[in-house]
Amino acid sequence: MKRLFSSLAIRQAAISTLVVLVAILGFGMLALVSVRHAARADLLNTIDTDIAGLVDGMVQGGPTEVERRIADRTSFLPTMNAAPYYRLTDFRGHRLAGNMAVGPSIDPTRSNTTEVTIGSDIILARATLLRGGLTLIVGRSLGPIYRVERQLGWTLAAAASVVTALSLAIGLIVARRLMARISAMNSAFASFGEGIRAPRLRAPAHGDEIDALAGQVDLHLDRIERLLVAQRDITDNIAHELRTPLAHLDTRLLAALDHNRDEQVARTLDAARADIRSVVSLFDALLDIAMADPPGTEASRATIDLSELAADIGELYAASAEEAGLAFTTRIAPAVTMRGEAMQMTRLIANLLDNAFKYVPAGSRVLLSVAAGPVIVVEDNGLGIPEADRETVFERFRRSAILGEGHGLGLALVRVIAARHGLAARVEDAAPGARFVIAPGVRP
Amino acid sequence: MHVLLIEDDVQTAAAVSDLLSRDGITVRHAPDGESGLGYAGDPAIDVIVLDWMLPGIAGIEVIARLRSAGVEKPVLMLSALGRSDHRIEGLDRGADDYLAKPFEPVELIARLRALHRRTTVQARQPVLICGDIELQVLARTAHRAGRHLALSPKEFELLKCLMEHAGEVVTREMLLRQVWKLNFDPQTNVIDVNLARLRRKIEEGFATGCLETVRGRGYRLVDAVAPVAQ
Repeated sequence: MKRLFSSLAIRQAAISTLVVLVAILGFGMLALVSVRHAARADLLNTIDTDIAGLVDGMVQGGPTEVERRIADRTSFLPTMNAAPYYRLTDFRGHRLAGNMAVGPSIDPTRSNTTEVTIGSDIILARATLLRGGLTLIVGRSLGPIYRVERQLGWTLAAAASVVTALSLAIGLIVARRLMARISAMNSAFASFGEGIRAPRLRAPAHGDEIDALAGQVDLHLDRIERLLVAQRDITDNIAHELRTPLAHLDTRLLAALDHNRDEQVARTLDAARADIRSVVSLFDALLDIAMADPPGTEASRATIDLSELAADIGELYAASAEEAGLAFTTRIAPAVTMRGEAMQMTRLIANLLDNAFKYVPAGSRVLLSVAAGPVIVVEDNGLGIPEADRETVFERFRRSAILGEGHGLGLALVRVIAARHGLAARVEDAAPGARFVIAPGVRP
Repeated sequence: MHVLLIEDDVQTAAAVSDLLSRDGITVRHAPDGESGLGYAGDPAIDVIVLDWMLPGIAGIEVIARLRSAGVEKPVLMLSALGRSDHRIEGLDRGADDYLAKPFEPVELIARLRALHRRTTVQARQPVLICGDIELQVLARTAHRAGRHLALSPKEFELLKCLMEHAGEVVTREMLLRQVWKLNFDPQTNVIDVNLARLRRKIEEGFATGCLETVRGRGYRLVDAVAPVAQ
């Protein structure tokens, strides 16, 4: 339910329906109140006219004339109008005429009006004093008014429910269509972010704002895709232009090495060749970090066995750990799989281990663990990383102040590879030591 | 072995030709994809070395045309593009091997030999022998001078790789790629340490060493019983 209402279009439909409902009920109540008011005024008017007639009878023929007129009027039962009620009593309270057996307590001296229940009927009654201490009560049934009110109420309720249902239905249909169009844009962007070649929206011509937006989305997806391909081409060209002269340089050094007999010179030439290699690997890493995956990358990914991959890497590093005096252990859950590029994930784990092995003092513990998720953890009990550096440690060319080895791209590459696989890289305090965690990140 | 080298860069072509011919490999050079395709059908050619970025027809396209023309000769892609996705794309598109420039000359030769071996009867030898070391490939056992060598599975793979290239220099990169399937060199000295362990197992208790470290290049397994030729 909460998910449903998180959709903008559904929320909009619900709100507009609510507004319509409130408006109908408000106007209905207003109509009901004014109808009741008018009907009562009308009824009081009738009662007053009735009383005036009877008072006139009193003047012309005394109590007998009043009794006669009351008898006349009660014998005539109106079909549509409210049924009349009368009661004429003497000063002792004895009934002289009328169809009200029991007198309501109304103060006749003030010509009071009140509602009285008689049997199953509710009436509006008015009392007045006549000459000789007689009290005249005249009433009219409120039944017809109540019936009209009830009818009006039901009509209103019916109208409100029909309008609400219609408004909700139309709102939802419009919302669905709107949502489908917006979702198409969302998924186009989302799949683009994951390196999938996004299908273009190619909006049908409604000619509205959303179409205009869809057109813009298409345009920009095209542009981004072209840029990514162009970026790839440029980095390829740079790589080519840089590697070719380095290859030539390497060939020359090798030729010199072949003709050389001097041990000192050989050492220097070897060192120079090692430098070329490190320049190339630095360059590769830089390009790798800078590159975004062009669309279509996701399709080339396969399901890889992360457990097997981590176990192999663990085995490769075990001997070096022993040599360096580190207690290196692995805790790898079986059959953890993920979609990804095996070589990149291998590199991610290797870089984390390289980092740990480089910075922890001899005698420390290093643990590589892999669990479902996938969650990859490399933890040590070495010096740890100060809290202030825990974010910047993943930035390129960021090296620990303790040791100045390496090109400083290892952890930057870790973060980039993780991100390409929908994972996030973070470092925590293992108290003591550092814990690098690669786990599924929060999707934007 | 006859190699067809399709490479537009004159300097690289000269260096590779020189390198291969010194090793007794005959090289025919084609400066572009068009002429390369013309030579490729020649039955004398055993292996094709192909540059990725060529003028006119790109290297990838050359492979596609070769394969559609029914030429099944092994192709080694040589490229100045070293990122891992290039390797994957190259191998996906039908290349049999991929080598990024700058490369170690011995590695190029070793890989060409390996590709050539694959196509000839020498492939899949059940027993590898180098001096007094004997490797039963299927049974996965190793002996030196009749004595059993207790090797871990990876150590066995390592020794097998060295024995397949016995007498030749095997680079760190080759070992990483063939034994551990890695296309990058970790910063930790994993290869040296693993090789040191292997050396201990195959040399300790024997009179002669057989695993040489060739400084700056890699490792070489030598015939320990053959008389040293000076």
